[in-house]
Formats: sequence, structure tokens, C-alpha cells
Amino acid sequence: MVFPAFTALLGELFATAGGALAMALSQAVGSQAVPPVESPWWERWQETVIDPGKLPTFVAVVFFGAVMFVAQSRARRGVEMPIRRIGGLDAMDEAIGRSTEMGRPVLYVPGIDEIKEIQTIYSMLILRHVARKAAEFGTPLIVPVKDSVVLTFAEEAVKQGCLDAGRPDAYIADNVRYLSNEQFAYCAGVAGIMNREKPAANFMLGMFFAESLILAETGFASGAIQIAGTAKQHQLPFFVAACDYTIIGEEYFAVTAYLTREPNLLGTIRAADVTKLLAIAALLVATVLGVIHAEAHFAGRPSAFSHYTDLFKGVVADD
Amino acid sequence: MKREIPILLTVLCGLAITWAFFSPLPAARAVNAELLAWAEVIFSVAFLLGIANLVRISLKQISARHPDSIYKVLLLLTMFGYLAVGLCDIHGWLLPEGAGAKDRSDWIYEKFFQPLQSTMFSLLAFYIASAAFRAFRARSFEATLLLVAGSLVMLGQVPMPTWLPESAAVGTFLQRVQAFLMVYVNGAGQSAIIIGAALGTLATGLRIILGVERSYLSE
Amino acid sequence: MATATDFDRRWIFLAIGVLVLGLYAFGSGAPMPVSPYVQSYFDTIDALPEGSVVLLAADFDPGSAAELLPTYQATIHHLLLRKLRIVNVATWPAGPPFTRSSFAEIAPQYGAVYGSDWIELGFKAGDDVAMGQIGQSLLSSFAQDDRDKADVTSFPIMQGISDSFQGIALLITMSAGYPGVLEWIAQAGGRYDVPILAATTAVQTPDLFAYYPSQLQGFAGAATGATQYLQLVVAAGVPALEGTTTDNQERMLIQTYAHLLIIGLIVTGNVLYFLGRRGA
Repeated sequence: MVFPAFTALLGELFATAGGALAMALSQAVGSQAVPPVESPWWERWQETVIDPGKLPTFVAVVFFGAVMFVAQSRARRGVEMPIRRIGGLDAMDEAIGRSTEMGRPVLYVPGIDEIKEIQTIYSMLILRHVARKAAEFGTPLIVPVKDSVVLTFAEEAVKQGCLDAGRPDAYIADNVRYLSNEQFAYCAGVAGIMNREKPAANFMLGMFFAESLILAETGFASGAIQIAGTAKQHQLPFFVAACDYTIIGEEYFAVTAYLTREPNLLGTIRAADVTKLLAIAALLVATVLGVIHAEAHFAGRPSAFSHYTDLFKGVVADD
Repeated sequence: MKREIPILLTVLCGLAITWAFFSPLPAARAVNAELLAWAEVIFSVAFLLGIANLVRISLKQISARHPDSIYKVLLLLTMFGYLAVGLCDIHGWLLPEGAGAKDRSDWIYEKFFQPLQSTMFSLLAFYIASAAFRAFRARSFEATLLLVAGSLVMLGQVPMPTWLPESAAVGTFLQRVQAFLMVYVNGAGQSAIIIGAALGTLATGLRIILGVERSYLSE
Repeated sequence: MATATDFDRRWIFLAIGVLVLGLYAFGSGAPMPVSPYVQSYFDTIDALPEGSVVLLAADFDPGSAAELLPTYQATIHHLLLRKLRIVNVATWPAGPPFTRSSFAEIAPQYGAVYGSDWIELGFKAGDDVAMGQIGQSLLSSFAQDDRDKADVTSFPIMQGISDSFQGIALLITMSAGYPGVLEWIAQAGGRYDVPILAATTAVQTPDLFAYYPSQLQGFAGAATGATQYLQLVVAAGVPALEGTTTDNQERMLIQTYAHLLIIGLIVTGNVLYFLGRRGA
């Protein structure tokens, strides 16, 4: 089933350049998605390659990718790309050091979502760094997980972190624990670990939901220093209220760049910043045009800017 | 090759799924559906890994007579007991006369799981109060503004008591203030965080899909 | 001078507990003004022609049932009152038991027939991936129904439903988190242009204002939205919900006093803080 689908896809892509052989091949394996030969090429493009409704998104993704590559190559060439100070990240080493002094473990909670959530993937990258630091300091690191696939990634991240520190013996398999797939059962399990094993530092980095406040308050009550980070905006207020340091929104995706200063990662942060500036500019232009257009509309006059406001439909309020 | 093959697979699968999002071609969607079905199978099988990890650690603690070993025994008994009940329900084994196919597992679910889950969720009410008391300080002008706005939003969500003069009018006014703060002030702040987080997500996703980010692989 | 961090937080827990239990035992309710979002939720259902098929997703669990179950059951009452047909799905595994028990209680009151007026398709694993598959093809996502384990195409309600949400007039989700309303907006509203209504927990509700009214036609957020919607449904002619509405109004008034207590605690905490700073 996959092979005919791939040949049909290939056939459609080549059809726009007049690839009759590819078209014949896809017809031979019974593909249904063959547009009429006589359509103009731009109509066939719309029917086969990009859904017209998603063209702006596609352009935005391609543009962002291009900006990212340019920024990464500039970073690799040595162009300086400073990142402003983020308190929570500076405190990571201090937190792990505090745990070492007190002879207590470090707890790392990678969020409760599955591995296909980008925040969870990113949490695994940060976990590797935290594991390296914990191994360098000789502090046990406990990682409770909610999902079985995340368990395998977490085990690998901790192992790699210990190897990076030159301390493969620091990896303790029993410290990476699968608790439960149920949200509050997992929360109860982590709260239990906080109360019984009394970690001196809690890292809560990833995607969280309703259990975030329970974890943060329990961690506070157990006396741990807490560094939390998520791009999930509903949980940020709870972390800000209950944790010592909170890494907010896009700062979360800057963690590895901040800690490693690797050019590829710095380039990504620069690309995000450039895109944000362009988005701000577009929103300001759209707002001004929208006000002008709305004023003309309510005054009963045609607006010379209606073509342009149509481009931003959805950003500016509809009439 | 140990690193190149996983990176190549990641790139191909990532590009296929991304292409399926943009393309109207049934062929692209067929590829997407097939890959997602494979992912479902992997996620389902991975449950066994989690169970194995849980059982291994629990048995180790039980055999070492850890202070919490009684809870580990309870955990294992509950897990395998409910698994057994579920299997009996699916196959209709040991089904009492007149009982429905899912009566037993539904009973356990309603009488144990639902109350336990509701109890954990209800802790939030207490923790919100203690966190608010401890952490919400009017240390600056902005913080004071935040506290006042927060109080207005809290009061706008709830009905006014009838002993309050003009309670209906007060309630409607507070609801309008709350709606204004949520739509315009909160909406702007949320949108800003969402845009920033979305760009971060896009950047990280592109890095992984295009094989630039490789630290998730073992070396 | 005592500071907020010295104060044993168990006194706060006790205050909250005594307040809530006391009001629950002896308190009364008060009607709430209806917000435009909840009115829109109600009006969107009311505007559907008789016989339209609605996809109702029970995407919640026992932890959020206190907020969402009243709206869920009121929605079922409203849909059956308007003679709309309901296809039930769930992307949370805890959803189907709520569907089963709710329809067992409500459907007989309207003489609704299983398979013609409603169907239970059950839980589909895969989160937003599952939602995408449901959108692509509901019939191939669920080969059998959840109750009788029969072929879905054999039921009258499923005739006229085809791929890409064809035949579905409205999607309503009871959303407690992920996957939920935001994923339905991306997978269904964004791709197939199907109107969406949502009932959500209090934490998710602030997100939804940005999507209203373009991507989300109405929403009933938290227990507040539930109470407002119940008031509207009772006024539309569902006396069976009067008791639930009164209960919800009483609970909302408990919430009023709890909010006042929390505001009082914040003020007290700040007073202690400023007195402590002055003393230092």
C-alpha cells in the first residue's frame, strides 16, 4: 500500500514538469490522484502539491528554515550571538551543588506528556545535561516518568550524561522509574518520592497539566530548591508562585543553547528572534491598516486598503 | 552507520508527516496514516517496557525489605488484579449470571479510581490558597496591578451573594470586567507566549526533523 | 513578627475545608448572569435543524468530572430535546464510562433509540493523531460500536456520514486537557471547517478567548460556564435539570466565598510582608 502511494506522489510531483513517464508509472499501479493533463500548471500545483489554505503556513515554515540556516552558518563563522541572562539556568549548577552538599538526590521531572510532544523531546536533551552535571558532582539523579517510550529516552539521556561526564558508573538504572500512565497517579508517585527521598533540588522541565501546582507545592514543603520550565502557558502561574526559578515559554527552548553555546543552537535562537520581530512588524502594520479600513467602513466610504487588510484577515477583526 | 541510519529515518519520516500536512494528495495522507499506525503500535507495545520497569524496581524493593515495601506489594497486587479483571471482562470468563460484560471493571473504576482521582484533583484548591498566601506579594507597581486584576477576574467568574445590594448588577459588571481582562489583556499576553513558544517548537522540530539536533542519539 | 513563610499552611487548609463544608451543608445558591460565550454555545445548538448529526467527544476523566459532567449531561439533554442525533467518541480512555452512564440515564427520557438517535463509538487511542484519523474517516477509525460490538455501518445514524467530517453538523468536546479542544480546533476546525463548541476546565478557559468566535463558536468554561448553561437549558424546557442547576448554583456560591477567602489571604500575606519589612 505504501509503494503505490509513494509512486503516486512521485508521479504528481513530476507531472508539473511534464513527467509523462512518472505519470504513466503511477497510473500503472492504480493511483487515484492523477489530475487532468489539460489543467494549467498552477491549478495542478494547487491540486497536488500544496493545499491553498495552507500556503501561508508553508511559506512561513520555509522562510523560518531559511533564516535558521543563515543564522546557524553565521554562528558557525564566529559571529557573536549573545543571549540575555536567564536566572533559572544560572541556578542549575547551584541547585545540583546544593544537593551534593546536603547529601541528597536531585529529582528531574520531565513532564507528563508523550515523546511526540516537542517539549518532552527537549526535556530529554536538557536531562542529558543535568545528568552530566549530577554525575560530575557525584549526586544521585532520580527521574520518574509517566510514559513508557519516554522511559527509554530518559534512560538513554541519563546514560549519555554520565558518559559525557566520564562517569559511566554513576548511572543507576533503578533511578529512572516508570510510575504510571495516569496523570494523578503519576503525580501522587512523584509527591511520594519528594516526601520520602527528600531531594534537595527539583527540576520540573517539560509539558505539565493540572498536577503542576501539586508537584510544586509538595516540593516547596519538602524544602527543595525548585527550577521549573514549560512552554505550557496555563501552568506558568503555578510554577511562578511556587518555584524558586521559572523558565517561561520560549526561554525553555533556549536552555540547551544557553548552557552549551553551540553555534547551531544559537543560530536557532537568533532565527526565532528575527521571526518574532517580523511578526511584530506585521501585526503593527495590520493593526494600522485595520483601523484605517474600519474607519472608512463605518463612515460608509470604500477603503483603498481593503486588498491589504484581506491579506491579514483573521489578525484584524472581521467586519 | 549506527548514527546515520536513525538520522536518515528521522528525516524521512519527519518530512513525510510534514508533507502530508500540507499536501491535498490522498497518496501523501496514505503514507501519513501508515506511519501513524506504526507509531500507535510502538506506543502500545512500549507499555510492556514500562510495566517491566515498574515490576523490576518494586520486586527489588520488596526483596530488600525497604520500609515502603508494603506499598509496592499493594501496587503489584492492584496492577495485576485489575489486569486479570479486564482480561476476564474482554473474554467473558467467570461472568456472573445477568452481569454485563464490563460491569466488574466499571465497578472498580467507579468505586476506586474515580474517587481517588477526584481526591488528588481536589488538593489543588488547598494548594492554590496556600501558594497565594505565601507567594502573591505587591512588591512593585506591576505586581500590585496583577493582584488587583487577578482579584477582579476571580470575582467576575462567580455569582454575587444575594445579601449584597444590587447583586445582579454587580455580578454583571464584574463579569464584563473579567471578560475585558481575559479577552484583551490576558489574550494579548497569552498570544505573546503562544507565538514565542510556537517559534521555539518550530525551531526545535526543524532541528530534529532535518537531523541538525542529534544529542538524543546515543554515541 | 510572623511572616507568611513561618505560618503553618495547615491552618489555611483547615479554613478552606471548614468554609467549603459549612457552606455545602448550610448554604444556598444564586442565579448567575450568562456570558456571551455560553449564550453562543447554547444558540449554536439551538440553531441546528432537526435530525442533524453532532459529534460529541467525552475528553475528560474523573478528576475533571465535577466541572465537566454537568455540562456534558446538559448538552445531551439539549441535543435530544432538539431532536439532534449524537455520535459519541472519546480520546480519553476515561470518557466512555461517562457516556454509557449518562445516556443510560438521559436517553429514556426522550425516547431516544440506540443506533438511530445516538451511538457510542468508544475510545480511540492516539491523542491528536486519533483526532486526525477521525477527521479523515470516522467510519474506518471505528469499525465497531462500543456497546454492541456491531459493524458501525449497520446503524442508521452512521448513514450519510463520510470522510472529512461530511455529514457532521457540529463537533462538541468536553475537554479536560490534552488531547482536547485545541487539538480538535487544529485537526477538525482547521482542516475540515466543522463548527466547534467546547466545555473546558477552569485552567484551559483563558486559552479559548483567542479562538472565539472564528475557530470556536462558543464555549462553557469551568463550573461557571456549566452553571450558566444549565440555567439556559432549564429555561429551554428541561425540568429534569432543575435539581442539578440548583446544586451548581450552590456550588458556585461556595466558590464565591472561597475566592473571597483567598483574596483575604493574599491581603493578609501582604500586610504581614509589609509589616515585616517595616520592622526589619
